Amino acid sequence: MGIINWARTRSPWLIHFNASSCNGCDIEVLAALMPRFDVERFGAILRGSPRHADVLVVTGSISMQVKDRLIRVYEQMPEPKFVVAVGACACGAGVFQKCYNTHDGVDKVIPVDAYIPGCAARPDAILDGIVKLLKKLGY
Amino acid sequence: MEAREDHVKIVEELREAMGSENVIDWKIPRAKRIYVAIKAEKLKDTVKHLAEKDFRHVSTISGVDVGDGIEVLYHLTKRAAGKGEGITLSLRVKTAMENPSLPTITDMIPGATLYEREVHDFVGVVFEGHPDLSPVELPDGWPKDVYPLLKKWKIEDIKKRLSEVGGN
Amino acid sequence: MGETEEFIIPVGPQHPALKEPTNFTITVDGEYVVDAKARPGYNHRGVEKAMESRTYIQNLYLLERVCGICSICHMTNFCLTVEEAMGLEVPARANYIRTIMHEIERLHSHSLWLGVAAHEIGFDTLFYYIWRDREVIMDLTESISGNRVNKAMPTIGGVRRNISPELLRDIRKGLDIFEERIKYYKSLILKETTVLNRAIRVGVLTPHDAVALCAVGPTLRASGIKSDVRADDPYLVFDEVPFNVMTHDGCDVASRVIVRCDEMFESINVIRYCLDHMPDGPIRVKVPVIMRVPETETVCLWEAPRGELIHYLKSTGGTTPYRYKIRAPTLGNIPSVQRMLIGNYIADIPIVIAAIDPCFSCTDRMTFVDVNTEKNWVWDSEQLRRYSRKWYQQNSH
Repeated sequence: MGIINWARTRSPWLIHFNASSCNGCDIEVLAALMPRFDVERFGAILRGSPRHADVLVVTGSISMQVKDRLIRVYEQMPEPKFVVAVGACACGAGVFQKCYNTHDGVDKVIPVDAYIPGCAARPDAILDGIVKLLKKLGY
Repeated sequence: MEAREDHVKIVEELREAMGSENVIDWKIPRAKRIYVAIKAEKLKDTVKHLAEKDFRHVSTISGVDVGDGIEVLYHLTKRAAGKGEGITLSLRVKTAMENPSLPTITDMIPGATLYEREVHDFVGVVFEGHPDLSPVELPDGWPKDVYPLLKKWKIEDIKKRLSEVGGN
Repeated sequence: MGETEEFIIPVGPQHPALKEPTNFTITVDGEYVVDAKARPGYNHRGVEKAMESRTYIQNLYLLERVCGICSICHMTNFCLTVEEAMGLEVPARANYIRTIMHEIERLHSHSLWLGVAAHEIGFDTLFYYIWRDREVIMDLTESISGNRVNKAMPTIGGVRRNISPELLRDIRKGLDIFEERIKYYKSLILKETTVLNRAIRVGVLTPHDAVALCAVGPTLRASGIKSDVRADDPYLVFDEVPFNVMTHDGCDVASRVIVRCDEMFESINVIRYCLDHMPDGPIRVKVPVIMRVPETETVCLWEAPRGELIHYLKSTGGTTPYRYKIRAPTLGNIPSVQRMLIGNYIADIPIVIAAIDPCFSCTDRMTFVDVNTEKNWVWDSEQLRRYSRKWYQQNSH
């Protein structure tokens, strides 16, 4: 593989987006960055701006208010970009099925590359999901 | 049952101050819980009277569609400085289903502002005198005729209406 | 006019009909905030409506996910509300176990907050250290309930899992370790001038305003008002367990830090008391899966880590609630945070908002309007944080 792809898979920069999540998955995403689980050993860091990110980590069941912002954040990311849906709500509505203001999963709004189920998804599972995504990219 | 006698005294003082014809109903299901139903015209005077009796904290305001009108419950809490004697008094006021409206209490208790906006969002009650009744929970672009917690709106109908305005 | 790059500051967690990251519009005059308006609504999922078409047991699992950080609070308060409506008597052991879970959740929530507050003032190392130590509590939570988040311990009629004697011993050990660490962090915070500069006399909320704006929780107690649902309107075993309501008179961000640290020590004492006095006996009474709740109304108050939580149930005798109303604590503190922001520097905004313990989700946006220049602009949270750290480096006072 070329050097660019090698660099990309060894330092995926993440941006985290809370799309109407209950915060359960969000605190586990943060816990994945903390010393116990330490996703940074895979070269991943959390960035604040979509323009610097490779991987968009989305949690939540996407309410009407948040949907346009999610699409905008996705469009601001430079190619190549990947989306990871963390948690049962992001994978497919979770417990909020049949609520009037939720979508049935992130893939109804933007394309998704990896699904990490769980309610809340454990940091171990999040790490596993990110590593699987990197392997798919040729790590 | 000292606690109950104390609660009965609160209700009796209220009836005396507001006039017993304006206090429609009351019940004390257990210690620390009082429910009083009053006429809508007496809402502000009642809240003022209760605030003077230390029921100054608005825990929340609930709007309930009861079929023949909208019942608004003001859950007022009397704090007890940590001594185990806190009381929650739920003040019940009814308003009509068509153009429901009540006077605001935010001039007396500013902390009630978001709760009134929320009741407006969900069941459509207009609080006269409220400085800003814009949506607090419902998203921008929510159709103005949909008050989700009214019984006539089923979830499927709300979703259909949202897709008409491009929400989902 | 100015360019607009937008960002929202989220305020939450709250209950879903209310819980959302919030968009603030800040009016500034030079470096000072003159007005702040919050616009919640990003997390509205329609839970209250959804509850009306689910049975009570189904609602138990929905309520848990109103907020991932205080899931036990919503779940157990729901159980208390329904049990009161049904006139159900819960075994004593169940209430002790519920109290232990309740206070363990307070520990996890307050330590989570302490780390995030450290992050907001630029003290990332402390953030990492605190979250590493918080894992002690997460491990205990997992040992007791089987999960780190969304523990599903309470059920209508009691709790679902028992605590074995070995686990009781592990809990004591975990608490000893955690207590030492929190003592260390509290002393560090109170001595570190970089932290104190960012926290003392910042985000002031007078006692009069705190009461008039109906503030709740540590935000209220940090303005000297002694009010805590566990003491005023005791639930679970709080009428038996001796504990103190922690307050502080500073009315600023530093007071809020102190109150939360002190509450953690009190929680540890409450858990130890429960471990020492745990009665034997069953952990639940059986209820039918599809239960009918008699025609009644119930109101239950609860002291969540963020403050007073209130649930109201109206039942008309069916298998689903007629109306269920939830008001989570952060909504109760939004009027106060709007007031607290006024008079502070722009650079103080992140910590003042963080001090009421809102959600830290990363969809942060804030719109600024300058009254003098009429310029308006929008920043994302990363930009605001970077601005505020740089401002304090250049303007240390």
